[in-house]
Amino acid sequence: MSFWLNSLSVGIVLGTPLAYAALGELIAERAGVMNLGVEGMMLMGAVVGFIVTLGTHNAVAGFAAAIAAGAALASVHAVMTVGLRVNQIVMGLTLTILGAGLSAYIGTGYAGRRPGAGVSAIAIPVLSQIPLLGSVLFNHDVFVYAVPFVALGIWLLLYRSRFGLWLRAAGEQPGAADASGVPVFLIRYLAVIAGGGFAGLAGAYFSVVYTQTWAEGMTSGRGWIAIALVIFGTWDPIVVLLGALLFGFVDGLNFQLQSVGVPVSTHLLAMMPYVFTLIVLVFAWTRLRHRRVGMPEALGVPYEREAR
Amino acid sequence: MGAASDPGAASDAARGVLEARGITKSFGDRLANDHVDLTVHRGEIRALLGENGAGKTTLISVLCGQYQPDGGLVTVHGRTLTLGSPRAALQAGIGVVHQDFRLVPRFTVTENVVLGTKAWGGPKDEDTVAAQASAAGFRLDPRAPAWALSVGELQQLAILKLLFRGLEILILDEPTAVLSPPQAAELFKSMRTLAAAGKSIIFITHRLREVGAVASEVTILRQGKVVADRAVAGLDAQQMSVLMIGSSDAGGRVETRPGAAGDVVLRLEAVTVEGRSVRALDDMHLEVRRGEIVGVAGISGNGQTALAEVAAGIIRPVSGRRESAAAAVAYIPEDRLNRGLVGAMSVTDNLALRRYTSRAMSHPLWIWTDRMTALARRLIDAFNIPVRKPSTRVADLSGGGLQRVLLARELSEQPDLIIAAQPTRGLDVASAAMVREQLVRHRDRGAGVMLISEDLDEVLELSDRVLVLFKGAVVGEYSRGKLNRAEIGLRMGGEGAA
Repeated sequence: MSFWLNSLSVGIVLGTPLAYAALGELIAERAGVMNLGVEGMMLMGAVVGFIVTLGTHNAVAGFAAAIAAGAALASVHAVMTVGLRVNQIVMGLTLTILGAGLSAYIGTGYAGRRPGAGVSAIAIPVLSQIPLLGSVLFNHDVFVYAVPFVALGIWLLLYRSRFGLWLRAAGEQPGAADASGVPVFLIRYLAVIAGGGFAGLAGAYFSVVYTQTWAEGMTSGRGWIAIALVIFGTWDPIVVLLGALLFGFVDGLNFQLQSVGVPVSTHLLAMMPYVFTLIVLVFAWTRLRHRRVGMPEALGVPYEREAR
Repeated sequence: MGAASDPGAASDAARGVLEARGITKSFGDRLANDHVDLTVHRGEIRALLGENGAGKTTLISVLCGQYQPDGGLVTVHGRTLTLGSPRAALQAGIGVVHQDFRLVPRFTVTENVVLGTKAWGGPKDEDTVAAQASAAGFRLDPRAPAWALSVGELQQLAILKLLFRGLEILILDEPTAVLSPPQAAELFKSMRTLAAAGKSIIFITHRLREVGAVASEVTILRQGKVVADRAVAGLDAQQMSVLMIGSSDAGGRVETRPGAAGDVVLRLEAVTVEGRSVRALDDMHLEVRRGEIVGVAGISGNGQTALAEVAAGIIRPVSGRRESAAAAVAYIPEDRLNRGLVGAMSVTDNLALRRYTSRAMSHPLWIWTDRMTALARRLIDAFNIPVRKPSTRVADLSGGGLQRVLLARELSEQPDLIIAAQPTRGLDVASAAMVREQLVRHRDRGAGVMLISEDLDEVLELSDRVLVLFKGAVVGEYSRGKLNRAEIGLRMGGEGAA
């Protein structure tokens, strides 16, 4: 029993940064901009968050700096793809490579050190005393508690606010939005930059909270998983959150299986989350093809007002 | 709008609600608008007439802020309008119903209507929209998603969007292109009601018949210049046509004698094709014989594209059969550049596409480029393709140029069956006349021709037999000499007993 509870608990912790990164990507994609630079932005967030936390002994400052670093790299993406209409795929890949290289350079000499400050778990009174599930669900840090509210907040923003209506319109039919007086360019800028901030936060969560150490390339492809989760979640923040937690659980299972010593190669076990992602994507995509929900119609298409 | 209390508003009656002066806009070295002036008064319906490519859409794109003109000035109620900003145009009270409607298919009616205003489309907005819709005489469900609406409903939605904002200057870009004649009459009624309520309406069209039917004033554009600006009264269709085209005979009606129908060259039996939300073709039966032009009339979106592709043998029906006795099929698709040609390749390559594997053009290991170029030169001459050299990229050609390349390639092989989908849409008069001539010439040679067109006049003029397409099925068939324009119009809208 404790095996499954542990897996669940670890899964929630591992799923949280994925959820933040995926929700950030969702915002950008709903506005019509694909950002494949999430991995690079997470790494930048991880290294900057780690160094600032170490220097200030203050995790809040670290996270603020990480969000700023992710947003800064994302603003490059925004200027290039929204302003200059560079191909979004090419630019995103470039930024992933740039983020990986730059973070490795900045982080030289920090590998193996401890951040000196962190974000401690807060046991919620009463709820955390519930047998079995209490400690699994209610003995975490503030980022874990916040994530469902963030997902809900994004859902409300998208479907219950004027800004959300405008953002969705910019992602579906930017020409129609522009003709209706919606500031398409401004919205796309804001969405991409906000998405980068989320990726930066997710990266810092890995280095400051989860592993409490910096290592080159430490996010090991989770930025890509976040992008896949947006597709899996059919661009719906609630489904994306659930997907992230499910993925975190599979990822956690891998560690738990290793620690109890199942007679399977650790390399095969480590593949689990990625194979799982592949399978899920196949199913998600066959489902998507038959529905009118999901992918914003103008996703990946630069908008040009005078295009003929 | 706030402009009503403006001291300048008092003189609007004399000056015009909207005045555009010297609008100039060029694309590359082509002048789309050359010092165009346009004035619209309160409560006026002004037709903006011109053939395709005359600059009508460019002018309204400037007025609604989509294009930044190279020169010129627009004033609304005497105030200068900031050009190049859709937001500023809307704030000044100018709204456009674009040809493609510019709606968000996945949004509800309400969300589409309120997009860009302060509202976000909640339950209160739904009530407001429902009330405004019924006040305007539109039957629209405020919660229905736009993708589920018919073309006529989409147009009502686009108009409602402008009314919701209280805009005063309404521009309708070729609104009747997607409507059946009875639906168009309905639209004209709404336009008159709106004008009577004080709205100013600019109505864009290239159909002379419609100018007299609804407009009081007309501005005629030709090659980017205003050639007439006057009252409609006292102007007959012949005079308008001369002004629009520039000479009295360039429109060149094709002399058509009835064809002599021979063997069946294409037969569709119980063909069904699935579309996105409804059946694109539903149990379709059809025959085309050698030596006849079968015209398929209908409003766009009633299965034309699927019919063309099945008839040409490009897509396979879900059920039913296609039988064809044709050795060579020519296909002129409606989307010329994406379906018919390879834009990034040269005129030479495009002309050789269907036959570059033949021994005349290639050896199994290489291509005779000189022979391909020679073929291209011959066809460029024969079809008057407007290029200086055969190596020009096809994507750089105008609509008429594209269609000439396509015709040259498809028709130079003496096909037995010709499927032409919207073959004259968007063409200049000379190219359109050439297309019609070619279709008739090949019919007389003995080819079977299927002409799918939304231009009812064209169908009636050329066809030996007319089929009316509605919701993916044939709802009426008329042979030459028994054509009834009014009845066909009703059938196109799904009315009249089948």
